[in-house]
Amino acid sequence: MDVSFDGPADPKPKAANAKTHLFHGQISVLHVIVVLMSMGMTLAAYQFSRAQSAERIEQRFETSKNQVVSLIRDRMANYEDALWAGVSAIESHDGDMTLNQWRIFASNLRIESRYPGINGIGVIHFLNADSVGEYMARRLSERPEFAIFPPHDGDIQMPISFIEPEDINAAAVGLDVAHEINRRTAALASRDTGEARITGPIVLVQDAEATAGFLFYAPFYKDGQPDTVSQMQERSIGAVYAPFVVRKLMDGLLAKDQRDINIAIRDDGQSIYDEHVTAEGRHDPDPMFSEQVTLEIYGRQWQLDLRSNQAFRKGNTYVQPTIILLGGLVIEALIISLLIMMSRANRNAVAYADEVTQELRQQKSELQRSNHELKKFAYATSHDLRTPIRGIGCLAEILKEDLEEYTSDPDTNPEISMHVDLILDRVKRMNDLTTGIITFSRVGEGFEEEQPLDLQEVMTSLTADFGLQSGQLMIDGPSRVIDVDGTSCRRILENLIGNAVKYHDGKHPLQILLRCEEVGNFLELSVDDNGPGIDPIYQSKIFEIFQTLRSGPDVESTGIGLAIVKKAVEMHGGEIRVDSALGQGAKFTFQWPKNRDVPGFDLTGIAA
Amino acid sequence: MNILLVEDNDVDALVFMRALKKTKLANKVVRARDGVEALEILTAKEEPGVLPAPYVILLDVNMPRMNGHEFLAALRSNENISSSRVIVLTTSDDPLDIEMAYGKHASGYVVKPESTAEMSAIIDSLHDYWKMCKHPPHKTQPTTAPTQAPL
Repeated sequence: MDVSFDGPADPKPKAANAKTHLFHGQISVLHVIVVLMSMGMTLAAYQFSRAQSAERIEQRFETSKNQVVSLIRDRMANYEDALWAGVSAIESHDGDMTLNQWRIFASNLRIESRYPGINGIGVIHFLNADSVGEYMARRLSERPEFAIFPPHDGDIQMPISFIEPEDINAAAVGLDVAHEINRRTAALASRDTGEARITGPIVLVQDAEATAGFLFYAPFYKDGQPDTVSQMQERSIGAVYAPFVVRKLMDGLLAKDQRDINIAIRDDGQSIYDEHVTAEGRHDPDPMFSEQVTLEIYGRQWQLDLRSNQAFRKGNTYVQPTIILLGGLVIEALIISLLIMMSRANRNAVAYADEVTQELRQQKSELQRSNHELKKFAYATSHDLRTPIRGIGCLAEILKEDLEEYTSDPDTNPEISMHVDLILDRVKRMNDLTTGIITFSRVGEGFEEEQPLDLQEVMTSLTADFGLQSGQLMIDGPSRVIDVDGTSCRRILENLIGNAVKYHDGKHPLQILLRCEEVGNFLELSVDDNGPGIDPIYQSKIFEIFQTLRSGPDVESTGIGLAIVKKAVEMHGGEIRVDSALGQGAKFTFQWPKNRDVPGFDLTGIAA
Repeated sequence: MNILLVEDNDVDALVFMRALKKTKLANKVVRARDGVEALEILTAKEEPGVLPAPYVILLDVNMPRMNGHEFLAALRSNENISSSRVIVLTTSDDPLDIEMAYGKHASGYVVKPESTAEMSAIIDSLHDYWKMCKHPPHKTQPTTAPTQAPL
């Protein structure tokens, strides 16, 4: 780090650089906004998805609930149909069927396969003190052991006359359902409305497990369905009935393993069915949803307590929103790490660029210094060389003068005079060289005081300078005025035209054409001669300093002229090229800026 | 017209003398090898005959001890001799040298020619020029110093 070289102007830019580094190294406000926005979007997507899931799950519960409730209704309606079928059968026998007839009917009903959950289907007759005798006679004729039980002191008797299948319901035959209030109330309600009715919770006498059950009645009357309550009471014969064990009913309702809702049923505060116990396989102690539904059913009100179970929980998780959230967070993390990586890479790049810039700046200033020194060296050397050269030249001249008398004598050695002339010739060459070097090292200097250059004037004056005939040196096309650094441009033209004159082989009368055209920001000037041309293998060498294609005394050439030309052209942002073939003449073309705004035009740069 | 030739290079001095001889002008020429010597000559004019007025200084630029620019500066700051006429005669055609010389009121700046013949021509021209010009009055001009060498 060459701090001292840059001098006192340096600390300021350095501080600025440090600040810039800091800025580039940090995560910018834009980055933070990007992260926050995508975070916000992730959360919004999560919330939205979660809300949607919740809604969907709730809907699913609602659907399941409605399904269960309507299943219960449908199943009960189905049983009701069976009862009414029984009623129709009895009424088709004029309100009186024998045990055998009922058995035929019941077996045709195929209870077990078509009405799962029903315990049986039977007939109850409504009796009073007047009708009980005849009734008992008919029953005893069918079944000698028939008896009505248990005795009670109500004025109506409602014995179960038939029940099929009888094997599992044997305990119920002869049971007087009027002996107990639930059974009796529902039976009377059925009789007095002409509609199907169920009892409140009871325990069936035939249910060995003594679980909750109920009876389902459908009344039948003498001479068809009456219209009024009194007619109903008057003409009622009995009711077709079916006993239910709630547990079995529910088993038949919908296989538990296909439900994602568990049910508990209460009738008038009394539990008749309950799946909300840990013994139930799918019981969820903390259900996601639960709802109470009151079901009006055949004269009773069932309180259904519906709760989602484990299966529901399994099938309705919040996995999707959680995945969205997790995915979003992962993407977030990736974005953040990407930003960090980018900012780190950026910081490294800036640091590296600074380092390189610093190096370049240093190299540039070193190059400038060395160029400057080289220039000074070339200049000083040339000057210092000039003095002794001139001295030698003058002394040789003096010598020649002093020897004049002696050399004019025909007896003297003619070589003396010739040698002195050779010395003078070499001195002149040496002088040309040093002048060339000085000119070369000075190219581009002092061109602030520029004067416009009229090409036509230059041609006229060069024609005179080189002793050409008028017409040998011409402008092909319109003349122009050069606005930028006319002095240098004149020197270039002088050199190129001078070369054309100097190297002309005399095979044809010399003809030199100058052209000037506009090409973009530049003028393109070309000097075209009809001389001997330049062998292509030398064309790249001619612009190098001290290169001349001729040796010996025949042509005065220092080999600096074209180097000066090239340097001057390049310092003005242009390029020079030669198009030539042996015997075809040579054409030198170069660009010259139209004005000072042309890019690449830098005289203070390191090209100096 | 007398000439103070300030020149360190013997060959250049020789060439000058030879060229002067060719012009057939009989100027008195005093030579100094550098600025220091030249100043000594100018300020020691109490010794009569060293460099009588009117005189003109022909000054080289690149010299040891005290170069042409330094000499000019010293000359112009010494009020006794500050009005001396100076023609710079040097190898340098550096614009910087030229500007500095005129900045110190040189009356002319001539780049040394390549041959004695050219030098003779220059001396002739300068001579014609001096002939036209009035000479500066010399403040410490010795009373005993009439024009020794006629023009």
